[in-house]
Amino acid sequence: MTCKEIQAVIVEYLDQVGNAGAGGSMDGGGRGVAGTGGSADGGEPEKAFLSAATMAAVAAHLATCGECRQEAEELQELMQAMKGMEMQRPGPGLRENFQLMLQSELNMVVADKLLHEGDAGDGRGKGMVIKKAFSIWHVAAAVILLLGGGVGIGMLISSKKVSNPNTNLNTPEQLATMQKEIKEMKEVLMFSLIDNESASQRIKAVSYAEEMPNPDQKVINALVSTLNHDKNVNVRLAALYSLGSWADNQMVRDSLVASLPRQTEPLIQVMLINLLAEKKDSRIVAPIQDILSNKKTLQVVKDAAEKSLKTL
Amino acid sequence: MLLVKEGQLSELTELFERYHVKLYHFFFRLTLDGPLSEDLTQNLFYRIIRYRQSFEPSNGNFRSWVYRMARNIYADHLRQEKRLPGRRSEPEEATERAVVPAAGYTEEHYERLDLALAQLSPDQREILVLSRYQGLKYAEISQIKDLSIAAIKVQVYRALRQLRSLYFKQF
Repeated sequence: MTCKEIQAVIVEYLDQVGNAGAGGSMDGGGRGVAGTGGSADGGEPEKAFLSAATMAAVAAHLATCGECRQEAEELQELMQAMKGMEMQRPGPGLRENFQLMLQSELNMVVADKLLHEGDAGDGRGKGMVIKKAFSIWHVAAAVILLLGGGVGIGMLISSKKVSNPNTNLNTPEQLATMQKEIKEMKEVLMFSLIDNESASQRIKAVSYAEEMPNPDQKVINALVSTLNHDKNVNVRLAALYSLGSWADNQMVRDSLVASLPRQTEPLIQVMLINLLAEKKDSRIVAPIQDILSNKKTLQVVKDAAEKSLKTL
Repeated sequence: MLLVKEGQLSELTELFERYHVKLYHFFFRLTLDGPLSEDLTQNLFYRIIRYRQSFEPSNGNFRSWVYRMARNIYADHLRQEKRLPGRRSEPEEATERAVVPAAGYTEEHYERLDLALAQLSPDQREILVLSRYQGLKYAEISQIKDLSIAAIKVQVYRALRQLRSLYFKQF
């Protein structure tokens, strides 16, 4: 075998030598810690590819060619070292966020089913909610109902309790003071959580904001910033739900209009378009046209965009 | 995965349990940035949930499908990084390395290896991560990268060779 031929098979040769157990040209027993971790996903080693004859030919060449032998030894050392490297593990937030994402997707699917059971014909097996994203507000409403006391986004419901004067407050003044205190407390909670590392905590923060009847500029700014910059789509979505409930507030409306061109997430695009079209805000015509002419835009978003253009 | 495609979303939890550490590790080896790798892994699972209908068993197994998406996410990240170079978080010091060193390898060896890996081109680093750290078979990588198995073998060899010269140059 020539040196060039050796190069073509050397990696497999070394793997095969390594997998055959200890030994090979290097010191024995150096299999190291299996770097591949759990084998549940079929991480078994590559099947032997090289025939015994080829293996023998490579070994014979290595015995005579110093240059190739050095290369082989160095490569083997590297490959062993790579095998020995421990798997890095992610923090617990990853699992939590995944559960959150999955939960909201499950809710969407259930909500979707509920909504479309009434439709003429049985809308079975439609799969992705997003295909029918026009009814997104209805879906949203259903999701909120479903979530009840559960995960993040559903917290909207409790907002009604705040203004309910069925507590033992005697005078309107007491009530007003109480409400003011609650509002301040929620603000404090919101601002302490909105930059939290955990997505579910950030959703909680957004839902506190939601419970404030008259949000001030500071709160609105925080939510808009979350809507535009949060890395988790569920948090952005929750921020949009909150902001959506104050869409008649001029400041909020301006921010929402400004936010549309920035959004790339289909679900959020559709919700924003529908929301602003409902408010007959003609300032979104230009951004909608941009969305329509963008090649990357999903069809469902285009459908929603076209539909809303007609109403504007 | 077929169950997932048919709408049994709860099956996704099992997939998550089975793959998330590995996929996190994939991003970590490419970026050496823990928080960023978590973000990228999360994006990936978001896409898996969202695009589960697009999994087509006839185009390869689930692993290939997932790694194709993972590569896209990493490529998107690199593009973004190019546009907004400021966002880079400072290099990890906090991630304590939970290494059980293999016989004859010290902490220093691993640091040197990390350093050498970091100097490879993104393509070379990626192929080594796929074939060496993730333990994917040549056939799977060939599906992921849409290249022949022979071409993958050549790439692995070249990357290893490059790594070797970077690694041993440091001594």
